[in-house]
Amino acid sequence: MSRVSKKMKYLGLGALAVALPVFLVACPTAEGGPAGDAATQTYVAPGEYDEFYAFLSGGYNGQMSVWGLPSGRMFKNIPVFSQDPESGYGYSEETKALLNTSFGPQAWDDSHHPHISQTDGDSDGRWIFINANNTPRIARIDLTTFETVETIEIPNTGGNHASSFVTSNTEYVIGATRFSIPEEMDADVPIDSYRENFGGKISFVAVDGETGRMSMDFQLRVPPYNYDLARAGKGPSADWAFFTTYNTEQAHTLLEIGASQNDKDFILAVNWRRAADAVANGQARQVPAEYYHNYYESYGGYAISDVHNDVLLLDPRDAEGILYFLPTPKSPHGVDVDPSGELIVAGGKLATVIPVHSFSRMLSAIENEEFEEIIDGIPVLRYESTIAGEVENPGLGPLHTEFDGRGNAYTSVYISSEVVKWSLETFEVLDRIESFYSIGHLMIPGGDNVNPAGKYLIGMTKTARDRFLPTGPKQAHPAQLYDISGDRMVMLSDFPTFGEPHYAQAIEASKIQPNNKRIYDLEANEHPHAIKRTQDARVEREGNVVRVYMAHLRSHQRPDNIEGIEVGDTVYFHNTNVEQDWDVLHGMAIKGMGNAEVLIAPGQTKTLKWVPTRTGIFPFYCTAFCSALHQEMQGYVRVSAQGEAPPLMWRTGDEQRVAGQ
Amino acid sequence: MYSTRLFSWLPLLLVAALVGCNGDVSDTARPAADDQAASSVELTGEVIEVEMISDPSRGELFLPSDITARQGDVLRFVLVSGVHNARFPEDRNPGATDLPDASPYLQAPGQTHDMVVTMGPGEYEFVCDPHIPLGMIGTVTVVE
Repeated sequence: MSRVSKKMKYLGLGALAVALPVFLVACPTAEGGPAGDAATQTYVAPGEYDEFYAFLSGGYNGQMSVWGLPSGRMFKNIPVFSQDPESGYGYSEETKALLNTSFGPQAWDDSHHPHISQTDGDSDGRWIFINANNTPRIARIDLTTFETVETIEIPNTGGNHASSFVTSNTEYVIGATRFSIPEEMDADVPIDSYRENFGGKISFVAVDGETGRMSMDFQLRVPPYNYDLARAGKGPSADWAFFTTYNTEQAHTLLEIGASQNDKDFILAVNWRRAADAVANGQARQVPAEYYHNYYESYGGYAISDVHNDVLLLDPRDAEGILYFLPTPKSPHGVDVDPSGELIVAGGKLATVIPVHSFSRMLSAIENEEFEEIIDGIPVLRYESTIAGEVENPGLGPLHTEFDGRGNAYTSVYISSEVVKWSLETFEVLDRIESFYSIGHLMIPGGDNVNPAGKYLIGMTKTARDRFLPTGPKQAHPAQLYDISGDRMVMLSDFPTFGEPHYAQAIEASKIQPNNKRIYDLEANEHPHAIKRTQDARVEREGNVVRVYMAHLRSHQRPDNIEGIEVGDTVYFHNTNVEQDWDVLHGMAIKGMGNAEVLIAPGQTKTLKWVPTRTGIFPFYCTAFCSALHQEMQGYVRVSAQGEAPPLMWRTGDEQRVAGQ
Repeated sequence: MYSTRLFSWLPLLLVAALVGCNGDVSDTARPAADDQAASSVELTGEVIEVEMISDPSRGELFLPSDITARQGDVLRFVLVSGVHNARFPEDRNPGATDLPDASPYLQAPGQTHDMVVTMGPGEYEFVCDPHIPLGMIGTVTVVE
């Protein structure tokens, strides 16, 4: 095998002197590949189930993919912030509203950080949240159906990157501005008035404990820095949330240089419970905003949008004891809290150590007012007062840290392209293993919560280069699975992913599988255009709007012949899958429709909008192979010239009806 | 190295293969007497045909949907149109312990499935699972 020489080539290309000893220490085998019986450790026999569900963000595809661990088998891709022609998400009339924002409907976004709802600091498997980075939003996905059911826009912010992390009982899902923008909504100001006019916002979106429904509770006014990542505390620190900042230099151009000047930036510590109390006590003020909240009000109907025009803003100058800055070297990226809730670990993109703050020392420093200065009402604590220790020689560019529940931390290190294992007790590096190539986030099932399942670790890397059979200049982003159950990390497998996964989450399958919904209950379907009996299938005209109430069942549509439609009509096919058979879907498409198909799950109603522009006979058909006679599942619509259509009629077999008769 | 791996997998593969053999098979050709539950019931030789229908004017139905039978009779489900199954659900037949196994899904027009009436005297409900809300439900009254 020639992997060694190849590896050396990439070292020469990409990295640094520090990386060399790292690799020499790291490799469990000469090939950097799996050792021993790694293949059997990831082998899940046909018909058997994986131990964990994993949810990988889609990054620039705006979606989220669902995988099994340890097999690395992909189960599903869930569309969230991007239109998905495969399922009709964002195309069907039911789902369009989920993409509404104050900037109009958004066909695309960039999703980074999935986070599973928690109870007592442990993943509970009810919902998973994910952020939209570009047009700031948070979405909620129901983990009984694996479908996006709600989105909410985060107003007066730019780049909702430090999101969508939940507090330990899912009281809140949090967000923050990555790009500070003018404080005043829609303000038209010179960009170089950054210091005078720009501001940052930390956002707290409340989550209803029963329904999961989100609502924008309040925002905190903070200096115009870049707020990068976040974590809520747990256990003793459960009332707090932590955000990394960079660009405390407040550069607005060429941040590559301008935002890398200071030796230390900050972690912002937020006592969210006191903030919420202050807001409840009327200490916040209403400021203008415009944001959309999109959700399903009923079981199986259309998603709807509420538009809100103000938001509660709390200024730290009006409420003490809520916000503190912890100086942290050097453009910190990740901030992660260990299972005990005591240690706050930062990753510095350009740092050569991993700084670890102590929550209890932070509380003492606040108590004793060990402040360096106060910025916009926010005390800056002394570094020496909060730091618990620094991990030496972690490689160059530590980013993110997760935990195994056995006293160890695992940090992804981007520039030297490795995973580094270190002790939470001694802060000494215990092991290191290379990644292929340039790791971003890493994830251990439960590795961010109070109860990690410290068996596997996944590293998600930024470039594949030679890892798989090549597919042109653009390759899929890899994920590497490591066994972390022993003293040394062992790579088990390396598989291509979907989109560009940033963060991911994983949870024991037993917390989700029993609650899985196999069908939508047809009898409970509250869609205003659903039909509950096939005999109710019909066509209705309201002016130039034609509504087709179509039943889909194996193996025909009812009706399957329609005449009396004219050019200039708008036709809505309200398609109900009247069957209740798990995983038997029907699909609907009609020639020249200028739209995507709709896929209709059992018991569901999905609406396809069609504006015919030409006369003729238009075939439609079931797009999802449903039965032995699936190919027979087809029909025709006749379109006539304006003013020349025959009476509206529809037919299925011998059953023929004319509108009004 | 390869042979070692193969041997360590072999038992797994064997088990998988054996389990796989017990999966669904089209039982149209299988004699009713092969039914496990039927083994303790003496067959009467009587065969009752029940059509399974999806029809634009009549909807989704078993025909007949109200059946009288004796223990040991055979219900012969015949697919006319659509895709259907037949099952005696436990939750619709509380207390009944001797219900026949569910049929597979029938898809080809003319395809049949024989189900032995294994239950003792009483009234029993059977359904087509995907079409319960559409009313595709039938009853069998078992008489002495």
